[in-house]
Amino acid sequence: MTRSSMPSILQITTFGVLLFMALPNLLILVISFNSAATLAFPPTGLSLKWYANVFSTPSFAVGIKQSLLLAATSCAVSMVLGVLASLAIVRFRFFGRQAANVFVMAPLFVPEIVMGIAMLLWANTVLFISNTAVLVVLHCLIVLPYVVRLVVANLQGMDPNLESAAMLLGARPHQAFLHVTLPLLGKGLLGAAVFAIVMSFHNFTATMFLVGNSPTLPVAAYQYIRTENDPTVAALSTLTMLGGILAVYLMEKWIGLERLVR
Amino acid sequence: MRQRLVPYLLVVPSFILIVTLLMGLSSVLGWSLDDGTGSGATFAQYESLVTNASYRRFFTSSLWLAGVATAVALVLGFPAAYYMETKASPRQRKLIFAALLAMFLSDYVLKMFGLVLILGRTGLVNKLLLWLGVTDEPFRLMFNEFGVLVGLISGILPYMILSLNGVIARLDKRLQEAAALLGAAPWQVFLLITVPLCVPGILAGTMLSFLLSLNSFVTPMLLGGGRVDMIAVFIFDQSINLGNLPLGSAAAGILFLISAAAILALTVAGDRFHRRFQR
Repeated sequence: MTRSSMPSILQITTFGVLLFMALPNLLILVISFNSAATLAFPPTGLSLKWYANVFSTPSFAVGIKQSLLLAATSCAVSMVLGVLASLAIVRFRFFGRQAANVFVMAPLFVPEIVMGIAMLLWANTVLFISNTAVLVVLHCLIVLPYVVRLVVANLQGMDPNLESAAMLLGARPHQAFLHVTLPLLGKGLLGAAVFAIVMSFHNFTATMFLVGNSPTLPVAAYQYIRTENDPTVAALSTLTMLGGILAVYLMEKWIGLERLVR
Repeated sequence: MRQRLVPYLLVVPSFILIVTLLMGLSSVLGWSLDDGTGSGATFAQYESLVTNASYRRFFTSSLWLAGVATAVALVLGFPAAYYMETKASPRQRKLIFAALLAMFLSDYVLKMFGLVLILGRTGLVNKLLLWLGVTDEPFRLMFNEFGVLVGLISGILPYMILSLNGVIARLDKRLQEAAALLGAAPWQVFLLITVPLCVPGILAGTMLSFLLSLNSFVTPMLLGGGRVDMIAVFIFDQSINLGNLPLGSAAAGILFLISAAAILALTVAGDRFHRRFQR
């Protein structure tokens, strides 16, 4: 008796939980096409004007540019740092290897708000550093542990004999890395890069401390929500959701979703 | 000799990056001990955070809200993760997984904005209740603790479920079947076999969710309307808006200690569990 009724309760709970998580996004989608300038339900008509409004709102235009720049730079920097560190951790046996591994993961253990104030204070001690540069450092710190984790997992899944074979056939270590390791890692690296870009693009709490007067997109959206009351932010959300779906698709294609969380 | 230096050279760039964080953290410590003269050190800031009831409230209220949110997320997330791993068809499973990941990667600020659309005075829930005639007055569903809790739970659920489904996928079904064969009722199997086997995932998900909730800034601001006290808001207000860096730094120091203690406690609990069950 219980055997047949158990799954249905489970099913209902699961559906409810998924709905609870998805509902905010679904509502945003609906209200972004509302023709009236309110956030109230139900929508009164169909319109695309809020989408046009996203791009004509100065703070969003600046925010999109700032966030993309920040995401691209911190992704590039942390990928280089992360790949080098991962190579050391996976391919070499050296004194302090375990400590290095823990050290690189350190930012994960610092609450984001503490990281924000810490980097703010750090910026005050360094002369002549621009706001954007500090933000790049902050975002690299946030992203690095994830990059290292993903790249280490990829490297461990790779046959080290391939590199040895290349070197046995006369390749120098850097040649073996460039012509054997890197191409084999290719997709894993692309997946890690997408993850890094997403993490950087959406960071809010720590970033908030350092934005000054050139807000990133999440900060601009936050400020807009607090002062205005029209569906422009809903249109913006829908656009970033499309970006999120693209990111999930790319990661599934390049590293497999399972790999990301296991 | 040169060969042995290679791994160190490879990690140096990352080290330099992490060192900036350590420098920042030591500045936080320095500011929190600042006594205004620039030469001496004082614990006055920490003392006032502990003794002053209006400051202390930010900590107790955050801990309480984070604890409740984590507990609810665990209760809601477990069945979802369980269904996903044991009952769903491979196709369904993949779909749920992609949806979870999309949620995990979606923008936190915008998610909270979506909840404002649901919980606000003219939001979905109130419109629905008014239309159904359940009430004549819109309910107050946000700008209070309830709104903040809903926001926190919605934010941490993806993390909780993604932490749980790993352990659930590795469950040894034969143990549950054996218990059932030996006469255990389904709820006994669940409480005595399934849950204990999932402890590592439960600990990981609980820790992650608790720390994320404790750190939350957007949720108390947008769904609490500044009326619900949480540590992150306090730290930001003190250090940025009010320019009281010593007090803000001391609060950040305490938050750091609380997080470290939580991580340590759950790691120890995890180790104990491993020693007991995985020999």
